Amino acid sequence: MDWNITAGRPVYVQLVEQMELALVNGTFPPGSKIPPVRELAADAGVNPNTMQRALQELENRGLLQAQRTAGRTVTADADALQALRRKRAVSLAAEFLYQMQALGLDRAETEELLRQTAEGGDRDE
Amino acid sequence: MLTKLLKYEWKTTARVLLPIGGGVLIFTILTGLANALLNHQSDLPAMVDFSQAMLNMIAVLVWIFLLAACVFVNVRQFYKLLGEQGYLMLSLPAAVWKHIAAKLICACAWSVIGGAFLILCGCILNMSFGGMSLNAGDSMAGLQPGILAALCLVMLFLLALLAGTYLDFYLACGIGGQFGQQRLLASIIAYFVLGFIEQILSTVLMMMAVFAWVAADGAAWMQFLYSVDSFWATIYLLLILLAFVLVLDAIKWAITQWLMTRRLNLA
Amino acid sequence: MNENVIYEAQDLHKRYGSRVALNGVSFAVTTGKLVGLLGPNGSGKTTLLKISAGLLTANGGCVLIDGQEPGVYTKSITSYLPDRMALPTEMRAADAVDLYADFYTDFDAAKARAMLADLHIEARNRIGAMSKGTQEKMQLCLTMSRSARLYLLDEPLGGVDPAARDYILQTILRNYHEDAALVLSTHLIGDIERALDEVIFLQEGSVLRQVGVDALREETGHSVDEYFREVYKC
Repeated sequence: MDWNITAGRPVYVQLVEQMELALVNGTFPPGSKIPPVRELAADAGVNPNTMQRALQELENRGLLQAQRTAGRTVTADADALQALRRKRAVSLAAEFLYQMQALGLDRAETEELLRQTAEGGDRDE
Repeated sequence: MLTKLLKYEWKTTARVLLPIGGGVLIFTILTGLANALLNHQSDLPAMVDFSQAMLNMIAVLVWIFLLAACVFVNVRQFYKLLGEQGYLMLSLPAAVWKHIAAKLICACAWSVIGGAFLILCGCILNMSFGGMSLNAGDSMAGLQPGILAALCLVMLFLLALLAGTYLDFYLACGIGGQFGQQRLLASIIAYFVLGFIEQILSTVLMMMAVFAWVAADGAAWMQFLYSVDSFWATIYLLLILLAFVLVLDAIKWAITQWLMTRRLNLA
Repeated sequence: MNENVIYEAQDLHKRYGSRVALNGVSFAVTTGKLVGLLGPNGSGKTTLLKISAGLLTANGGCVLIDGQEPGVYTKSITSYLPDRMALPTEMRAADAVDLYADFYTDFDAAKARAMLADLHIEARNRIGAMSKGTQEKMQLCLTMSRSARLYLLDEPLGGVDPAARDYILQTILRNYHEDAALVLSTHLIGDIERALDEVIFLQEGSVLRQVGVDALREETGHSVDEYFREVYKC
């Protein structure tokens, strides 16, 4: 998977976000085993301890499950994943609306723009 | 660890010294052949005689060069240990005394081999080993065990002197290594200062020995020595000298080791 | 002191003549941590690592590695990468691997050969004929192929090209053990800060600050790199 760790924010927070994304978009399907910490850390070019901490956080939230035989699996609980997807979508939508407001578009204009963009694909600019 | 260090040391020095030795051997053989050919001719022009003499002189110079190269390579090995090579070698989990021992054993071995090699070269130059080896065999057979022991003692004494020579260089390198810059210069100066100190020390000790001898009724001692017979007297004297040189060597080694453990300062 | 401390310095002092290189450095590094030693040129990074590797004697204070002062034991558990080329230039790559295998019992020759192959370094290449960057890579491969308890890397990424830098970073991340600690000095923090647990900032021979990377990002809202530039602004 593609990792993109940017400056300014804690690495750990970014890892949690990007792992969440990987879980909801099916990079790691429900119930499947995820690679070991070391592997994931090397892949992302981050410290294994930081990756460990991020996975621990996801585990605490019930999105990952530690297996007794070492390793972690993605939760098979579809509701939990759905809730996560919903949460991420809501926060992105809120962010989008906030930005549109900042640009001075009202609600109708924003809806219109969304519709146009969705239909028109790569039209304009 | 010591054997590994020795092996590594040996390989590194052999890489330089063996080719030089080979070159010297070839040159000596060629000169020896020329000698063998020319010595049987009479009434050669003066020019040829002169060239032959020159050739022999060059051969001797080449031998001196070989000895100098041997000493230089071995001393340089130690100097480099306190410089760029130290980053690799002194990071190894080996005690400092093993580094010194490996370098010293290797240097002494090369010097002894170098000496033997030069004797061989001398024979080649005169094309005269036949007689030489026969003589050696004869005299060996005729040796008494006592003489043999004395010879061994002399060898040991020479070896201790040889080790002392190298330890002088090592100590000088160790002192030079204390400086931040101009280490080579500092080492060279240290070497000469050390030589000077040793000279003075020996003179003082000699004088003290003489005074002690006078004070302690040396004549009686002399009588004792004479009474034992001159052979044993020589052996005693050699033993005393050997002990003296060994103590000196030990002191030099100890200071070098102390500098390298407690005062190490790699450039 | 914490039992997990593998590497610590206590009030370490070092002078070169009248110039002070280290002026009372104290810190502790626990097992499992990847620590960056940051500071501008001349801040004492190399001096600190040389003392820790047992190649330089301090004027005061001490360095303890697994509770012991630098000596034969600490050298056997410390894998040190100097800031310069230390391998004999007349050697071939394969000779250098053999040398390490000979002297270090914790050296994994197979791993080293695999890494050299990945970096396209031929076993029969003479070290003296390699470019400076390749020599550095070679040396780093050898250093990381030991399974030491403490790795001390002095400017491991200095002269290495960006592509190899990624490989080396990955190598470091994959190879160091959980019960080992790794300390690397650098002044190019940008590329590697996300691989570090903690950073130690050195300034004029003293520890300015020792802080977790994420803690610093949380606190300042800046990357360590940005913070570094801020702190050491001329």
